[in-house]
Amino acid sequence: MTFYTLIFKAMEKQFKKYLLILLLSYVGALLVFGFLNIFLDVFGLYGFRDKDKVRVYGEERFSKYLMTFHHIPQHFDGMILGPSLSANLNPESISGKNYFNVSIMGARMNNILSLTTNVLENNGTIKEAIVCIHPYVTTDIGAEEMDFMNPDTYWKAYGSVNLLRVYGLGLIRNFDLWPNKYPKNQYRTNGSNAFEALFRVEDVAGRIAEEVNNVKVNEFEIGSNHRRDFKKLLTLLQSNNIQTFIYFHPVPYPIYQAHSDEMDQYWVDILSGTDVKKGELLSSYNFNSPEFSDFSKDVSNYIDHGHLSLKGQKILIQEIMVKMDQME
Amino acid sequence: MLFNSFEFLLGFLPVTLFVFYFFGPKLKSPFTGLWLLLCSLFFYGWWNPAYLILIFFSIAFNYLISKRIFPGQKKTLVFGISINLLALIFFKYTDFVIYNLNFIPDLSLGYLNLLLPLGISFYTFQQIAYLVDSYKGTKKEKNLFSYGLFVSFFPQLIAGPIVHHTEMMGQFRNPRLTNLNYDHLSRGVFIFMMGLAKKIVIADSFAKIANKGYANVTSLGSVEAWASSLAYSLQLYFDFSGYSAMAIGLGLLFNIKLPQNFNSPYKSLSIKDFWRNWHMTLSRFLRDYVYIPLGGNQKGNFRTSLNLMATFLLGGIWHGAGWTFMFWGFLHGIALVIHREWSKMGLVLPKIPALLLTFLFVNITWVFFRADSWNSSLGMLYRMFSRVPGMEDFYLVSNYYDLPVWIAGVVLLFVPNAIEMGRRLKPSITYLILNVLLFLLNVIYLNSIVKNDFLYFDF
Repeated sequence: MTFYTLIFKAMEKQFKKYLLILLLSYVGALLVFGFLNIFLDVFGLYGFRDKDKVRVYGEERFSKYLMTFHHIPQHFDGMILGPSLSANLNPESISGKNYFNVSIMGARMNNILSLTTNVLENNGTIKEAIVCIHPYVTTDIGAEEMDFMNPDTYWKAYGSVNLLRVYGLGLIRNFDLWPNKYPKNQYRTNGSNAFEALFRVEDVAGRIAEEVNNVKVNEFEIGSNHRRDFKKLLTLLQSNNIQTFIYFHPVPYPIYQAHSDEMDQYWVDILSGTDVKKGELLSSYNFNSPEFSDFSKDVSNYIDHGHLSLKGQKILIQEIMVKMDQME
Repeated sequence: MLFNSFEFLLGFLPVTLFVFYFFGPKLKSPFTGLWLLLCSLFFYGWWNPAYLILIFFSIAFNYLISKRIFPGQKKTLVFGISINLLALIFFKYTDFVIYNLNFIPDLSLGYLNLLLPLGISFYTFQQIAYLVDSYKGTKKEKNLFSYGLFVSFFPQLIAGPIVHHTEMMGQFRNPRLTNLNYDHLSRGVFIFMMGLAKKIVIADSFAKIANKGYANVTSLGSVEAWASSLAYSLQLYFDFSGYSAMAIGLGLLFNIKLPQNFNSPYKSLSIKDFWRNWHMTLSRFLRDYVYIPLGGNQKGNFRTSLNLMATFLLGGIWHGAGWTFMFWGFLHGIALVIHREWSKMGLVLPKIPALLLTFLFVNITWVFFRADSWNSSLGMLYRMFSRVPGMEDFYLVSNYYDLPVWIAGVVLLFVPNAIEMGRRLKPSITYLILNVLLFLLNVIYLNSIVKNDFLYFDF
């Protein structure tokens, strides 16, 4: 046996040991990381976390979609669905009912349908739904490219870049490291997004006046897929016996006034396509109707050209509850 | 099947390796080769089974024609090369030819919109080299299946490295091929992990900026235009060198050593140096089968310059059917001619200006390589070299989540590359930890992203 062969054999032995340990370490690292994420259960997916310990820290679409697998269907009896216009509605003021605000920033009807489908497929305690409608929700213009609203997202909860971002943002928020950008309690445990401080503009009336001219006619066009998804949503809610209230978000009066024909027509149009029968389970209301115009004329109900202030939210929720009670 | 897909990593690769090492020693060499051939064809057919017909034809034709090529039989060689080039031209360049013909007044030919068969540029060049080597009298392959394996070996089939018959067949015939070699396996795993991270962590992060920038050239300000072009330079490097590292790592898992394809090219101090370190196996092919046969540098100064230009024009058009690719090749050809003259004068730039100048030139020429059209390339360059404000409501970068990855990408350009690190690998705790961290990082990214194809699949 030559010296070279001896060295080679010794090295080969070392590499054999190294490779074996490496492969075992791969498996070990994977198991430790996976179980750590299950243990932390940041989205309440596995039922290891108390209801009031689960909240959104960031990556809102990702987080709320994952919450629809277990946390929302198992812990709440009502849900608010919609885009940012309804995302800051704080369901805390709904007395005697345990609502979760599932609304997400930039949500379109396909997102709302995906979230609702997942909540209802996971056989939970949800009995009521409030759906916020606005032309923004049903237009094809400017939709988010990455929506995470598919079952594959479930696997990302075991370890993904999105999950790491949530951890990172959780640390930033919990330790209040960047309060101006990521305030500590921006997301409440009921899902509502207290973004008022971040979104509020100084001159609300001026911003509304500016927006009057920014609204384009094609924004009122309902995308064919969104129309189909809206129908599916209503059918789904009805077939699951969910008491549903659909409302047209109250836009600031100057904007409504300048586009009232399109707005009114939009509301008729979006509802006309649905073949579900209104009755005990379904009702709707247009908060842009004249009887509610005092609300939309009052600038203090808004923080910008559409999102509601704390005062505005309170009034709107009260009105919604009154109208839902009338259903019952 | 992409190297960075779960079906490859959890299905195809483990099964291929298991049969290779478990049954390989029990079966004799033709069967292990046959197994690798079958796996390679399955891998290739996964994208589109119809591609298999073309590669079958290509392998069979070249195998048969090579049998008839001997030193002095130039006609057969020319026939063989012509058929290969015609196939390549038909699939890759027909629409480009039609596009140019349509400039003739009153002519309006319809496009064929043919799907480019994956890897056709790579396996065509590899086989042309084989035919030329046969003409030169190099030992030929006697077995069709062995030849088929040389052409289709899955780690390098789609995007190289472009290999020589002589450097592969000896390895495939090695009687110890299916013996477990823990040194190769350890290095193979490490190099593969490094390549995978380069692709899915770094290249794909830069891709977000580059794709958005090149898709919205008219919205870019000057800073954003530079950011987009730099992001593409980094994306392309990490994407392609990552793929090559994965191929080399996979080769080692099967006891096959594939040639290095990248050697930290952005550290190059001249354009000549750059081409020694970028896509090294293509440069080798162009040198051996185009530049030298044209006369290389043996026929005077002017002819050398012409040969360089011709070689790089061909290199340009090989990358894509478009005038922008041709112009990219032209610019590199010109740069090499200028560098040659500069070197002859004995002038040497200091290290840092030389590095910056080389990188800057490469970065600017990538604009023609990446942009969809002349207008888009010129628009990007105009924005890079004039003070243009960006559009108010356009954000090239919408968040800074990827900032650590961008920093890591830039740092990685200046540290030893994946192959160098693979060579240095020792069975030590440091490498073990690095390897496990790389694995975890790759798993996290694999479980996160919408997968992007490798850029060189388009070439």
